[in-house]
Amino acid sequence: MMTLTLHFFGPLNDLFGGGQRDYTFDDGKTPAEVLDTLISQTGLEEVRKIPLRFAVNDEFAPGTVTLHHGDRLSLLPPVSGG
Amino acid sequence: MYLTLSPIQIPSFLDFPVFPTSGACATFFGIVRNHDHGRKVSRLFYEAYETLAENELGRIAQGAKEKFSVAEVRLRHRHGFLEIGEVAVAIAVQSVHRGEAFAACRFVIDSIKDRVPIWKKEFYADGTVLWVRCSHG
Repeated sequence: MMTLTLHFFGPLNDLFGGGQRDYTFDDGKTPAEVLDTLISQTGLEEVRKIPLRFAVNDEFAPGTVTLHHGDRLSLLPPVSGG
Repeated sequence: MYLTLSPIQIPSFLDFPVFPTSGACATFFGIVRNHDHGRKVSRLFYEAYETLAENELGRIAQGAKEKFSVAEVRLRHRHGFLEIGEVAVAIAVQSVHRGEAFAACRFVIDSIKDRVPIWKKEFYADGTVLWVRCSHG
């Protein structure tokens, strides 16, 4: 098992109850798999409709990269700055 | 640092040295307005993924310098709570000629809106609140 720190931004803050939180997952999961597990566990099916990007340890990352214990995974909804 | 929690004052933002090679300087200021899609807006909140946003703003500034051969890109983006009339984003580009200054300025603001991890929450006069959905890079 591995522990990840998940960081929620923008509208995901409100959906997942804010900020950042530690979660435990099976080893070797990818960001896309973590998201899928999270949606299944929380029942927040509406999140599937949001085109999310990911960042791992403060760098943009594809949803297919392998995560490791201690990684910080950020879930990034479409941006609206400027 | 490109991000700031403090108000961006236009006079102090524009207080920068002009290069002797610069024949043009184009500026853009994004301002908090009091309406959006017909709704009265009372204030905004910008949430930034600070580390990533700083990196991305730096990449955009550097990208504009390389793409348009401009001499200097000065850039600030506010985050936190903003009131109506405050500056959300400020851009100043110096270049030899006006064409590349305007183009680079446009490139910078469009790139910010497209891909910098910052999220806007609008607070409306009727007491409701909404995260504004824009785009992904």
